Amino acid sequence: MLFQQIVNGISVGSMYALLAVGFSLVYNILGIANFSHGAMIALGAFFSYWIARYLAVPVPVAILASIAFTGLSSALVELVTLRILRKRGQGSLYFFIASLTVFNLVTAVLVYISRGNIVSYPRAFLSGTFTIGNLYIPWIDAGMLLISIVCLAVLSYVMFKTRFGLAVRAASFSIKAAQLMGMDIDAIIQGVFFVSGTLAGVTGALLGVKYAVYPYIGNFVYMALFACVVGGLGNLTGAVLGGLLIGLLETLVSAYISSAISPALTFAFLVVILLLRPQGLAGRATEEKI
Amino acid sequence: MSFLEGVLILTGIVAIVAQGVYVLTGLTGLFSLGQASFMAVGAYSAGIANLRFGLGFIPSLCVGVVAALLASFVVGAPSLKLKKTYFSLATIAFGYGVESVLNVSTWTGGSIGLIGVANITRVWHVAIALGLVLWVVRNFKLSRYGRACVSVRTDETAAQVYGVNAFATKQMAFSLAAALAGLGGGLYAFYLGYLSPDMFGIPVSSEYLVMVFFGGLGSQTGAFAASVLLTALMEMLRTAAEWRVILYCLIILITLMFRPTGLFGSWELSFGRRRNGSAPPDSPGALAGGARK
Repeated sequence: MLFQQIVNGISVGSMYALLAVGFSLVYNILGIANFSHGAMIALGAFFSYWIARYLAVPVPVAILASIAFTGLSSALVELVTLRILRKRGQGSLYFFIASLTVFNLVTAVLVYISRGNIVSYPRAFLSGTFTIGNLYIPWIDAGMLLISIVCLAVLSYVMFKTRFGLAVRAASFSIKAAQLMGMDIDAIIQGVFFVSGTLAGVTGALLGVKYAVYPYIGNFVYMALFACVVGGLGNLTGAVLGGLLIGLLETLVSAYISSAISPALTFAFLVVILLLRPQGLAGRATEEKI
Repeated sequence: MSFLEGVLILTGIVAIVAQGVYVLTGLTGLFSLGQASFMAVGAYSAGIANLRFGLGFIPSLCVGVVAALLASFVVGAPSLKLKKTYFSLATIAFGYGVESVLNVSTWTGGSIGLIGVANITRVWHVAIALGLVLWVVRNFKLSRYGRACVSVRTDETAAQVYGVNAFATKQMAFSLAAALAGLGGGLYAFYLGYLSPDMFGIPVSSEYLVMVFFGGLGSQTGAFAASVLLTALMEMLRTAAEWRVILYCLIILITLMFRPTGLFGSWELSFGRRRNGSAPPDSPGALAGGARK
């Protein structure tokens, strides 16, 4: 029973980890929470559902297509909000409000389109379970874990082996210095939004397969936030760690205590972490954060 | 109760809570996504005091305000010591916590909600409360405490160098905002007569935040005008229920992009006496500059 729950928690946690990494990428550069990430989760879930349903293509193809869509949408959000605000010299704080409004707007539009209904996929994808010893593992859980490992591997390759990754790391260190070195900072920020949008798209689509597709699915972005704080804001390894931890905690609390109380306990856990280690589990204490 | 009366009461309640958000975000520069949860604390405490302990209207409202104040100390003590981003995250977590406790506890009626609170709130109650709140917030803004809030917003370190206790100042603004949210919540409970957890989620908190931004961060008048305008707009569009949230978000986005200082910027309606001089320096630009990386 316990192992069963741990397996479950790790697969949910791997999804949170992906979300948290995407969230962290933007936070690293801009130093502000990007709530349009939640909009991308919801769009990812709905795009892949629509494509699978109305174009009648296999679900994996639909998910791939929706990932591309969410990446582009995320870049578009950057173009129409953040870019304009930055060109005018307004701070990232205004973007915080703008991203929050984008999130609310997308949720409202999806509520309007779906009429508030909760839908599930027309064809089964990764349904059923397989057994290892006496553990029953749903295929979707295994799939989620596998896909998130692949995504993280690709991401770390991009971040540490490519020119783009080097540019992103430099810009995270200091935007001004990166600009002085002749980097095209607009392109870098747009690229980061694209990458973070694709990560949100993957997660949204998979969460839609596992649970259901509904307009408020974007609220998973708050879990990403908690994961980031637990792991240390702006720390990619910490984000993964925090995601897994939050997923485990949530699953175990739901299994052994009550699923309704688990957000309250997550909150308590977050407060304890903030009190004991404000820099997060994996973060190093810096002047800026405490 | 006529439709107009209902709209007036709702507008007044929203304006009261928005004044709290103005103190917290406009003056002090803290972004809370937990204001609706403080409203929930106030509303549920007042409702329970009335329903389970048989307290009257005014005593129940007081219970609601005190409960919200206590909650603000519990939440503020750990989170206000942190940097501003972390504080915002902690308030989100608080919002989640409150919602889940309300959903579980049988005492608050669980997810069905608290039913059967007396239907007492009338327009003149809200008008008196709103008048008092506007007066208190205006005086708070012009007092040394208000100036301390502005100094903490523009540069926390510099404020501390000049002897401002940054933590105490932030806690004061946070508690004032929470108390106003609690008052609004109490009035709301006695207006609707029933409460449910989903009335006070994080989206509601974000609406208040956005509302104050829309009015102009530096302006109390703006916060008031925005809450009246936007609530009235929402109520007028009630027939097109599905469209109104979409429209609301679009209006705010467009304002943000084309008039980022909000409707009023830092302009204040004044009644002549203080026209020249002693108002605290206020510019949303300074706020953004302080937080830019």
